[in-house]
Amino acid sequence: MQRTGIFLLKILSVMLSSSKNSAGRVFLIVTINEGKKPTYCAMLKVHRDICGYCGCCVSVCPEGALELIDAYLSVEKTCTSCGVCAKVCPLGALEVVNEK
Amino acid sequence: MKNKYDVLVIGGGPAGAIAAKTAVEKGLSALIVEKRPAIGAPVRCAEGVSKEALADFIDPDPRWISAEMTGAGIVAPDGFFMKLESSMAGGKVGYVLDRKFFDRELVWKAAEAGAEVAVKSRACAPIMEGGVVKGAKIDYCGKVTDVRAQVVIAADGVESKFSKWCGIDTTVPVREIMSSVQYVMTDIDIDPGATIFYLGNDVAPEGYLWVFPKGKRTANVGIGISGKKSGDGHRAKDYLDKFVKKTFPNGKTIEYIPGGVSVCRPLDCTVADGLIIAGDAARVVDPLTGGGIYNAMYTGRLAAEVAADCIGKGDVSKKALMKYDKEWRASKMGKAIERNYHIKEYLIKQPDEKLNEIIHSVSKMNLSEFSTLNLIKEIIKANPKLVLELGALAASLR
Repeated sequence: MQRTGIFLLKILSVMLSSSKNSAGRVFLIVTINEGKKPTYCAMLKVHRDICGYCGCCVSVCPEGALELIDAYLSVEKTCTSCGVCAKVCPLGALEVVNEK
Repeated sequence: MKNKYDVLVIGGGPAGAIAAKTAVEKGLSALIVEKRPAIGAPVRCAEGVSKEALADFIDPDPRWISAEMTGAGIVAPDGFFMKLESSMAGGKVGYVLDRKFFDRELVWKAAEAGAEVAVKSRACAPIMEGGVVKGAKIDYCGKVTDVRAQVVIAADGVESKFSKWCGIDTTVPVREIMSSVQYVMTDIDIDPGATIFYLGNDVAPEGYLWVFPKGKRTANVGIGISGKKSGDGHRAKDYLDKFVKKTFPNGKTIEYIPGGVSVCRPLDCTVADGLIIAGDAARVVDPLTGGGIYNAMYTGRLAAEVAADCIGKGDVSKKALMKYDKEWRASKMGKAIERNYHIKEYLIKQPDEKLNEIIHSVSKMNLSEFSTLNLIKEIIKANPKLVLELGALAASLR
């Protein structure tokens, strides 16, 4: 229960921080390991100030998790944070962030 | 926007516009949905097209032609410059278009012929019944409407999401996406009549850098590199900035255009029950040049012709629509894609020294006819060893 509580808090804090940031934090995967290992978040971060909404990333996404809605790149929950999109982005607008 | 059409076209680029125009000319009702608020913008293109290819579809008009090309040049990795001039067609071999106006013209022509057009209207899901595509859910300013159609033509470009939603894998392999950036630059010293291509692993790994003139001192200056070679500190933009700083230090950038171009093989199958895939969405970009305008228009037209035929016969099953898939593969365009795919695969594996050698040898020849195919033929003539290295490819060039 405590773990779930921390998890929810983390989501909340990420949502709050994203509203202050120009970089949108759009998706979150939380791996809760068994035992006492630390909790990691792997997340695809869209730097919206860099993104040129060209769709290059959309074409390589193996999960079909990215979609370009005019000038907004949306990331769906099927994203596995594999990072393929971040690699091919011609501008460097995508980043997989691992957070403890 | 009505709730039912014979043909629903997803995407208002050249493939979609020609598809819709052809469909209405065949007596069908057609709707183009374009998710962007404007046709033609933002541009995602270097805008080069051959004169001959364009003539198949539309008469040239100065309103959407930025510049006419009389030749081309290739800059080898060692800096050696090879100029290719043409004696053909009054010396004019191609155009650099103004896509904003060109795309708009094509959609205008489709509308004039009777097609309906909806902008800022995004297909957000297919309507599927028993595995058959029956239309799409269209999101217009947050309001979602069901639009049913006998045949849906997916012409949604490099993103190619619609077909993916219908269960077709349109994912481009990382090594086969050209991660691209282009600046429209002005106040630069260029040859206003020639497209210039720069090759080399330091300039554009597994791709090329281009300068396509759009006026006396204005050009599209862009680059495409393999997605495999892209990463922090060495992205397409990093390479382009390096080139621009060195070559056009006083140029002014008036437009900033990122993009992705697929240079993979076309989709294994470009039809499904009730669905035809055309243009970039079908991955029919020329894998060697990255050119896609003609191929988009060609497949767009063929898609609508086959759709009309199949609707007329009351059978829009995958089996019936396969006529489209078979026909474009057997066409000159289909064969060129297959051939150029092999050439691309060969060239990207060559070290700079080999590219230098090839370009130096070709520069010693007289090219009577200017075309990619002719250039390749001459390259092979000058480098007989290539015939062995390229294997089966040689036969397709005869």
